[in-house]
Amino acid sequence: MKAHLKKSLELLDKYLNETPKHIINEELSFFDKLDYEGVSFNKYIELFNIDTFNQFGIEYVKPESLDDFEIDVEGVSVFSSYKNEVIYSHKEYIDIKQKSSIPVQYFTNQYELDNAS
Amino acid sequence: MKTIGHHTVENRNTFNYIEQNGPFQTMDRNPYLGKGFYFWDNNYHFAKVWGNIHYNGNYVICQATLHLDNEIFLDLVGNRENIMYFEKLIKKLNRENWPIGKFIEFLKKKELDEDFKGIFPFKAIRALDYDKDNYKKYKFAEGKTGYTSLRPIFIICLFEKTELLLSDFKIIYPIIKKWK
Repeated sequence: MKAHLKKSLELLDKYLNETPKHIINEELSFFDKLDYEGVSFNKYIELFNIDTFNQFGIEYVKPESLDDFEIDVEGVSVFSSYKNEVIYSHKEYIDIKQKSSIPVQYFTNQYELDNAS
Repeated sequence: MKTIGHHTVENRNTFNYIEQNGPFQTMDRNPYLGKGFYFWDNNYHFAKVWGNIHYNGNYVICQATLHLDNEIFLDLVGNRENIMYFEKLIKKLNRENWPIGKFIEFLKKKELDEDFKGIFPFKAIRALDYDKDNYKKYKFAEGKTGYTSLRPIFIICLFEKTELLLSDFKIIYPIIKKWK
């Protein structure tokens, strides 16, 4: 087996064997709950690439109150809600955004993680 | 290896912008191979099919040369070692009900952790989209049931947009007058 594949499997073993079980469970169950499926806009974050919106000449805005909110994926904007708040808004998606009222699992976790650190 | 990639976007008459800034990250909420920049592996035909279905025939097809070097390329189409490796990853994580895209996103997230750098060292992935509606069968031999496809759909997802991964990005459909 090629060295980089072998290393990858070894690192996965290291993760599974050396990380406390409750952390592994937490990390995996976070992804278990992450709802990529379905048609509803309510249950997951929407990730869009800023380039895509530039392509269409559409503006995107980030509310000032969330200026200190870090988004860890470069070049990606987030359209959803966190506890009924707008996280990252887009004029063309106002209607969709307003339908989004259920706390979003990923963002909830990420937000709490950021605030805890 | 190198291959030709085809990338379909909606036509909003922004040709200049597309050539200067493409490819574009998928807007799909539930992408097959996780977040990234999607191409069909040398499949102009299916790029058109996609444009007709998803953009009502109002689309632009771009072409690029993709540079997929071994150590950053997870090939789930033509590399049995890569396929067996990926299946091992899935089994080790004990989440065989997860879709492929979710595994990839999980592993990409772990890769960001300095302690596990190298757990998923890839920048691009290729997989077969086994779509029965587009999987035209050709029998191998008379009287035998075995068949193959001469029109397989290979999807390539680049996790990032860099010159190392792609070059010569240009619009090939519609044919338009070159602008200055």
